[in-house]
Amino acid sequence: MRIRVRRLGGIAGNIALAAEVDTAELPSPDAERLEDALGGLPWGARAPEPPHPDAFRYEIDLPDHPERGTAVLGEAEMERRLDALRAHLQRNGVVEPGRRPR
Amino acid sequence: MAERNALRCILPPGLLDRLARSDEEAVRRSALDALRLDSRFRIARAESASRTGGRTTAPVTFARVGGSPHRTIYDQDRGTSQTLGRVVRAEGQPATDDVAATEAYDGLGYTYDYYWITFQRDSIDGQGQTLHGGVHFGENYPNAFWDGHAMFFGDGDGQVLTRTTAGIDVIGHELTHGVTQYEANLVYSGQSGALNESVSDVFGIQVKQRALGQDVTTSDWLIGADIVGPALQPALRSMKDPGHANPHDDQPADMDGYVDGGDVHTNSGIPNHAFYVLATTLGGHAWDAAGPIWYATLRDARLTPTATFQEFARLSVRNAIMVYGATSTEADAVRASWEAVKVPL
Repeated sequence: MRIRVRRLGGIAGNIALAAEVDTAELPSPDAERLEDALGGLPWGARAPEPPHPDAFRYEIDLPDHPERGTAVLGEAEMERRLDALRAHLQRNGVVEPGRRPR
Repeated sequence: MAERNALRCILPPGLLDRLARSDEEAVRRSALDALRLDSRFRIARAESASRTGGRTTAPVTFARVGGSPHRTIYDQDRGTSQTLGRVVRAEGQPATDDVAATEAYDGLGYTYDYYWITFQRDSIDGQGQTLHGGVHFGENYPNAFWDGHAMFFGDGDGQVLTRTTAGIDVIGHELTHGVTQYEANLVYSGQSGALNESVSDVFGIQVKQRALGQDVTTSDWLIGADIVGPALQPALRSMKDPGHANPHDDQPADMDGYVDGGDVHTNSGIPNHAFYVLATTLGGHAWDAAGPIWYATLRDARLTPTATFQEFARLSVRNAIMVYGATSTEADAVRASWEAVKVPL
């Protein structure tokens, strides 16, 4: 299963760091743990209120299951539920191309 | 020897009333003095409450106190807990060999000094609050933030951000989120959220300008120039030229580029640029007139937590008029600054 994660916010603002992971390429215990955690995410729900200014937020999508929508997690929730994915993003993420206003 | 009044302490008013009718003249005089003092406090508190429209306010301070920061720096040891870690430097102690701790200590001091010298504001809450700074937050954590009680600094990932303590403007920005929390308490979404962000950039850049002795012409008006990694060179944001601070910068410079539902860091480019126009029009140091007008607006009891750009703009004009007069250069410059970013007054 492919999982796409983006990190936005922080003092850098609207800069998105993005990464994708395929659980088929992970050791099976790690893949199972990650897929289990996905089941409980707030798919399609409103983004949570930021706990403080300049907090990060994480957007998670499943490219092969677009019908599930996006799950948005705050930093503490991301660390609690999907720390392996957060660490993968921090190690392998790339900054998405900018979107100039005009 | 100074005269002492034994009754100037915490006593119920009923007891003071009875003592004020005492047969003993000394007791009667002391009780009347204490009642007069008590009355002054109560009137001042009521006046303060009426000025702020009932918003929660800090206690009234009668004596001029402050002028010296109280800083404590902690080592978070790469953890992500917001419980403050091991104390590595308290106020007045010498610097250690930890560069981040030294920069955090100095940056908190620059911010305190800016607010004290410019506005006689004694720390974030105006009441001498200790400034707590936790360095080495998280593992290569590319962020810095104020959590409502303390400021936390990441060491950066080397790609997006580097050591965040290196940014004097960043420290000023984050601590100003604390000032806003104690003043207008602008809600962190929509236009009020963009104002919250902008106010932090506006005072953050002034903290840096003052620390480096820059005037409006020698400042680069860049936010985060000292903490960006290779991906975001040369800076996070530009108040002079919003949208062009780095290849990913999406800030609009005026209302024509306003992004409906946009991130608070996106639309903050509009009030950021208004302040830049005002400060550079007036010249000199940004904190001579432009900064005080913005500060008075932030503290104005009529500025609601859900304020729009237009509401903030109108209040900034009123505050400029109140201090400098309706036909003053300053009031005209404030009007022109909002016209420049196409916020209707």
